[in-house]
Amino acid sequence: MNLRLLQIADSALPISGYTHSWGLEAAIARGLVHDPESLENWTRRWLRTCLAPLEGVLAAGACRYAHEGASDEVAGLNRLAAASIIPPTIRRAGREMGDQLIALGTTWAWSAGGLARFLPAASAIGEGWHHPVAFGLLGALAGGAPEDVLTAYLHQAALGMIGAGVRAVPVGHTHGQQILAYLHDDVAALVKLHGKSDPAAAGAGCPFYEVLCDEQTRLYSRMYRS
Amino acid sequence: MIPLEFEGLVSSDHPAARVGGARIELIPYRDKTHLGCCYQQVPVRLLPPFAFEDEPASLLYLINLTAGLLDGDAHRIEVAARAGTRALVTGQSATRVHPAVRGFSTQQWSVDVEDDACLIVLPGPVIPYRGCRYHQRARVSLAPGARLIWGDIWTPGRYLRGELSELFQFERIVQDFEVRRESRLVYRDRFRWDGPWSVDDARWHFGGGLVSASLFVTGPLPETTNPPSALFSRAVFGLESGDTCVRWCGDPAAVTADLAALALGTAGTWTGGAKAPPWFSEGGYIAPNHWFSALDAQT
Repeated sequence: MNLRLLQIADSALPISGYTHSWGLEAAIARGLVHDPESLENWTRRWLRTCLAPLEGVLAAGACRYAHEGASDEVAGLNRLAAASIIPPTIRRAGREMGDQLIALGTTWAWSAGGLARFLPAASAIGEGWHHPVAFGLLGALAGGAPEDVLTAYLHQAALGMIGAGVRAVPVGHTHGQQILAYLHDDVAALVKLHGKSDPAAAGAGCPFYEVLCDEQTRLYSRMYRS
Repeated sequence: MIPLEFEGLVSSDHPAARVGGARIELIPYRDKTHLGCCYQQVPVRLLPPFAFEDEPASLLYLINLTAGLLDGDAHRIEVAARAGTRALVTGQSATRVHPAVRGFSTQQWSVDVEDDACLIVLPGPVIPYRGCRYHQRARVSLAPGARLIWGDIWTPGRYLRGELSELFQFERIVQDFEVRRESRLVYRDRFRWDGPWSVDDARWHFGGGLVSASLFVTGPLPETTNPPSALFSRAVFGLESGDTCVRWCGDPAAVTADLAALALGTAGTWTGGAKAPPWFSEGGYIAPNHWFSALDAQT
């Protein structure tokens, strides 16, 4: 059991992750998500078409580059994320969470030394750390293989989305855990599909999802920052 | 350039495939924008730019002489907008992407915009036919003071044919669009759509609309834009670079009109100030049956 990987994928991380719903709240406001089944479908589609092809590929790519000691390439993935994640709410959320995860990593004995080798390249580029890149880097420092790190990344992302749904729909915690279990096969399939993908192909094309992320910023009353 | 998603396929492998392109240089001359060096290879042709007396910008049509992009067809288009030029580069009609048999079809752009140039590129709506494989690639290089608007419109296929309509029946579409300013990546629109899409797939991607569209604009949008419409959803996103991306989902005619109005209106403010009219909105220079000339139909 890799306890380090387990920790960075914990539901309490990334710090402030619980303040985001990644567009789910706008979908609830439109009536697109309203019960456990629709929450499961929403989360599955989001994983398959939005998260895994872009952030997931970046997480696995960062892990792979980190294992190779390619600090410039790891840092460059942050630029790719900044230019590819279009809704500002999602982009800022990802960078806040990434920065906080890296800051936390500098305090851990198992990652502080390794991070010191990668931080100068990122500072030189002047980018913040986007969460998938930070996760992939720390996952590598934790000793995780890219496929394992991607599995952990997608699992914690699904858990975060379901957690937001549990509070906002609302859905019972039991249902929430069932949904997470139902998504395990999807996560495994996505890791098989994207685990070795070239980061140059990272990208997601879900215009309506982005429209919802924008709508969320104008909801009359909302619980989440994104 | 073969994308990772089409590895193993060759765009021009089909015996009937047509490889064509154009290399276009836009230069300023006596307050108008004209062609500088130019090269064209069939089936891509370009008309000499229309430079109207009371219009700040010239209008340049790119024409595909064939019925669209057939399996294996590959178009490469290079545009260099020199300092001081103002132009709209656009396709004469929508691009029909025909079914793939052995390979894929592709349109690849390279656009270089110099300081104090204002360029709009609207390639035209893409109509992906049943079973097509299509790769659209664009690399844009901006000088610090360059102004660019680029618009893409993705239709579901042939959608006005009643029972014969083909909605979201493509096999694969790969979009690979990148904008760099002084070599720094500022915007990236990269996706792979695998079809055919079910009704639920289409609803997830397009929100129940028939088209989606995207506009990249350097800098912010003007303060006043067209009002929202019940016919589409529109989202305006500020990018980290200070540029803007606009996305639409909705009705084809309404989205197309709104995109064109926003593009031409924004360019109008660039060249004439906040209260200037949109490019080509006066004088009746654009034919009423042009693919985006229904500018006033929806507003």
